[in-house]
Amino acid sequence: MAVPTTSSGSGINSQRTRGGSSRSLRTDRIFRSGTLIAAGTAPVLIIAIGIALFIASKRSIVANGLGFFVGEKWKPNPPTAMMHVGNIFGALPFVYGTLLTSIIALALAVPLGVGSAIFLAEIAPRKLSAPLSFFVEMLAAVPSIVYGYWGLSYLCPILVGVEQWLTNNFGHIPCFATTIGTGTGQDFFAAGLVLTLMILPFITAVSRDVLQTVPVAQREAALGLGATRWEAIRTVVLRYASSGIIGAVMLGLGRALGETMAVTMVIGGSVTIGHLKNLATFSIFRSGYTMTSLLMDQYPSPNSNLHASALTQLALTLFLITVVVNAIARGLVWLTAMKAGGGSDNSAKLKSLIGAVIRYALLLVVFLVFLMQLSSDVKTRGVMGFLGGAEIIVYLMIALWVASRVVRRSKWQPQWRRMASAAGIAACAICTLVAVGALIGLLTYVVQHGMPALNAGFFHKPDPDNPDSGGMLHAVVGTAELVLMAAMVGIPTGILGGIYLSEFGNDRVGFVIRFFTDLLNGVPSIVLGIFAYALIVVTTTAYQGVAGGFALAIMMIPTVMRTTEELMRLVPDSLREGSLGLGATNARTVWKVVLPSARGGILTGALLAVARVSGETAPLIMVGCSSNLFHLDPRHALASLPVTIYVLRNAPSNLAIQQSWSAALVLVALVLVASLLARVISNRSIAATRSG
Amino acid sequence: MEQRTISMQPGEAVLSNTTSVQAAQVQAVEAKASLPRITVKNLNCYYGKTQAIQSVSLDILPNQVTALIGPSGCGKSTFLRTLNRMNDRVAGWRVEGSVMLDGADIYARSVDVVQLRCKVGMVFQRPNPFPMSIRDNILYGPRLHGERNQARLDEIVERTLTQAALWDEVKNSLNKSAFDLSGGQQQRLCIARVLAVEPEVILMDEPCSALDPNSTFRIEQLLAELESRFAIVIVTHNLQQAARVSERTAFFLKGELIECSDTADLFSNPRDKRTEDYVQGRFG
Repeated sequence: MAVPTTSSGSGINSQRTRGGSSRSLRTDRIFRSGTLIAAGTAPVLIIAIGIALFIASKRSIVANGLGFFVGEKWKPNPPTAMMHVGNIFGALPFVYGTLLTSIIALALAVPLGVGSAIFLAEIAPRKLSAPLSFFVEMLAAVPSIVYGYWGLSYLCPILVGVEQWLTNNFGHIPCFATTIGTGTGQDFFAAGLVLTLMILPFITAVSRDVLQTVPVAQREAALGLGATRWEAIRTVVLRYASSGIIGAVMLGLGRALGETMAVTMVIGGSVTIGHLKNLATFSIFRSGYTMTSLLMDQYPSPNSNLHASALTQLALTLFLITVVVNAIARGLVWLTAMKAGGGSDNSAKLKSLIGAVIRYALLLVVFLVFLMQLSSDVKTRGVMGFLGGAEIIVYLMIALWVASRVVRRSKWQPQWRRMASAAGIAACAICTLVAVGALIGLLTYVVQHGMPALNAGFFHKPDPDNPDSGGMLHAVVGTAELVLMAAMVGIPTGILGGIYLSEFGNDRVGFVIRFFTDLLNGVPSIVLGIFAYALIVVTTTAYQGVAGGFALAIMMIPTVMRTTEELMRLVPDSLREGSLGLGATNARTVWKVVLPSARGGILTGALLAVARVSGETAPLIMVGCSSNLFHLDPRHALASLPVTIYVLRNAPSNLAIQQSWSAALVLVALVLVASLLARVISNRSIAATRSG
Repeated sequence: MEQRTISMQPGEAVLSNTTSVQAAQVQAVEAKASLPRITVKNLNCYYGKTQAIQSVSLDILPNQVTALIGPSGCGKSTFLRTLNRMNDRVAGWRVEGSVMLDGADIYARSVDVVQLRCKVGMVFQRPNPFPMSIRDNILYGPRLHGERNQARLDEIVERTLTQAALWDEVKNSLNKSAFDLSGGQQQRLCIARVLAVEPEVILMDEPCSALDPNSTFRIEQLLAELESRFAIVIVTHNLQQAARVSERTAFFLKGELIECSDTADLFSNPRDKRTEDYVQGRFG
C-alpha cells in the first residue's frame, strides 16, 4: 500500500542524485524549522507565562515583600478607598487551604486509586478490567465544573449531617473539631472530597499503566518462590512500579493544587488558617479559600491595582509550585520507564528509609489521636471511657496485629497467608467498587437532573427583557465558537510540534521540548486564563472572546502534541525508509507517507483536546469572558456552557437551575462522546499500523 | 547412577559399627530414590480451545536431570509449567489427567498452590531478579515463609550462594542491587533464590538461552553439582546441552511426548523415526 504513495512522491524528485539539489535541502530545512517553531511554543509559553505574571505582580512584590508569603491576613481596601495605606495582603491562608484540601484529597484518592489500579491491572479478568479501565479513563475528562456543581447540590447537604456526627463523636481530634459551624457543608472537607473524586480517575489510570509495564517474569518469579498472589503484588509488583506510582500521585497532586471550579463551589469562601495555639482551628469543617478559589472570587473584580497585582502574585506562586511538582512527577515516571528498560536501581535503601519514616509517622499520628480520644472519654465517663467504641476498635486492631505475628510462626501460617491474600485482593476490589460506584453515582445524578429541562426551550435564545424565560442557545453557540477558535490555533500548532518531536525529537532539544510540553500540560488552567488576560485584555481592553479562545488553545497544544507524537512513532520506520530510499525529501515523506498513516492518531489527539477544553471554566472567567446575550462577536465576551453553569448555580429561578443542569449534562455528553470517539479511532488506527 | 543416589556423609559408614542398619538405610534411600518424584499420567492441556499437550505420561526421577527437547511450540515449556501450576494464571487454561508429586495429585482441590511451588521451584528463561539487593533477593522466599532469625538468614544467604557458585563473586556486595550483576550472575542468583526455598524439584525453562557461552558453561557445571540433591527438569533448545547435562531426555512434538529414555540411548539409537530426524538436525 505504501508503494504507490511513495513512488508518486519520488516521481517529482526522481531527477535528483545522491547529494540532492539545493532546493530539496532547503525544503527540508524549512520543514524542520517550521515544525521546530511549533514545538518550541511549549517552552516559550512556560517562560512567557512566568515573565508576564512576574511583571503583573511586580507592584505587589515591591509593596508586600516577603510578608506576602507569611502574612495571615488578607484585607484589600474597599474600592472607594483613595490610599494604598491599610491594604493587607498575606497569602498564607490560601497556601494553607490549598495544601489542606490537597492532603485530604491525596489521603483518600491514593489508597482508592492505587487499590483500583491493582485490581484493574493485576486481579480482574480482562473482560471486566477492559471496560472498567475505559470508564475510569473517560471520567478523567469530565469537566471540573460538573464535579463542583454535583458537590454543591448533592454532596454538601449530605455532609452537614456527617460532619455533625463526626464532631459530636470525635470532636476532640483537632481535624474534626468544628469551630465555625457553617451549616452548609461547604468547607475544606467537602473540597477535599470533590478533589478526591476528580483526581481518582487520573491516579487510577496512570498507576494502572505503570503496573502494566512490570514484566510478567517478575510476578512469575515471586509466585514460583511460593508467594501468594497478594504477596507477589505487594512485595514485587508494587516495588517494581513504585517510582511510577509516586509519579502518578505527584501528577494527581499537581492537578489537585491547580483545580479551581470544583473547589470554589464547595469550599465556602473565607480567609481561614489554623493556629498552633488553638488546635481546634485546624478543623477541616471550616470554610476557607484555596489559592485558586480566591483568584476565582476576587480576580474578576479587584478593588485596586495593588489588589489585582497581589492576586497575580498568588497566581505566580501557584504556577511555580505546580511547575516544580510536575517536574518531579515527570522525572519519577521516566525513571520507572528507564528501569523497565534494564537500568539499575540504587535508590532502594533511600526508598525503604522513606517508607519506614512514613510508616512510623503514621503510627505516631494514630497513637496521638488515640490518646486524645481516650483522655477525653476517660474525663467524661471515668473508667468506662476505656471501653468506648473507638477504643475497642483500636484494641481489636492491636489484637489482630499480635495475632498475625503469632500465627505467622505457627503451623497455621499457610492458612493465614491465604487469608491475608484474599483480604488484600478483596480490599482492592472494594476500592474499585467505591471509586466506580461514586463516579457512576455522579453521572446518574447529572443525567437525572439534566434531562427534564433538556427540551426545545433549552435551545432558545435568552430573552434579555425576560431573563426568567430561560434559553441556553447563546451558551451552546458560544462554547462552539470558543472551542473552534482554540482548535484553529491549538490543533495545527500541536500537530506540527508533534511531527517535530516524533521525526526529529530524539536529541537533547527534543527532550527539553517534551519536558516543557508536559509541564505546560500541568499548568493550572486558571493561571493560563490570567496569562491570557494580562496579554490580551489588559493591552486592548477588549477581545475577551479572543482571549478566552487563546487560553483554551494553550491548553490544547500539549495534548495534541504528545498524542500526535506517540501515534506517529507507531508508524514503522520501514515506511519512512521506503519513501526516503526513493529519493523523497523528509518533508514529502512526512506529509505523504507518515502523516496519512498516523491520521487516526492525530484525529484522536484533536478530539481529546476538544474534550479537555470544552468544559473549561476558570480561564474564561479570568479573562472576563462571560455573557448572557446571544452574539458571535469574539471582540466581546462570549457566553459558554460552563461559565453559565457557574453563574446560574445560585440562581433564584427554578427554570434557570434546571437548565443549568441540562447544560452540565450537555457538557458531559459532549466530553464523553469526544473521548469515546477518540478511543475508537485510536484503537482502530493502532490496529491498522500494527497489521501493516 | 546408583552411587550418586546414596547421599551420605563419607566418614559415617566407616565409623559406624552397625553395618546392617546402615545397609538397611541405604536400601531404603535407594528404594525411595528409584521411586519417581513426579508422575504424570494422561495429561491433556488446553489454552481455550487449542490443545497444547496431548495425553502425555512421564515420570520425573529424583537426583537426576531430565531434559525436555523439541522444536518451538512443541509444548515442552507448557508441560514444564504444568508441573508447578504456573499456568493457572493464564485465562482459559485447562488441565485433564493427573500430575502426582510424591503420590499426591497437585491439581486436587485441597492443594495449596503456594505450598506446591515451595516444593517445585522454577528458574526462568531470562534472569528475573527482583529490584532489591542481592541479599534480599535470596531471602525473599525464606522471609515469606516466616523465617526471621538473623543468624539463620545469614546462613541461608551464604549456603545458597555457595551452592550456586556465586558466593565468591558477590560476598562483598550483598547489599548491592541485583540489577548490577551480569546476566550470567543474575541467572545464578535466580537459581540460588530458588534453592533458598529448599525445593524438591527444580524446573528450568531454557535457563541459558539469554546467556553467553561462558555463563552457560558455568550454569551447566552448577547443574551437575545440584543434581545429586534435587530432581531437575530442564527445557532446552540446545541438543548438545541436553546431551551434556541430562540423564534422561524426553522428546516432544506438537504437544505429544514422542519418546523418553536415557539420554545416551535417545541420541545414539532413537526408537522413533521423528526423534531420529530431530536429533540429527533434519528439522526444528
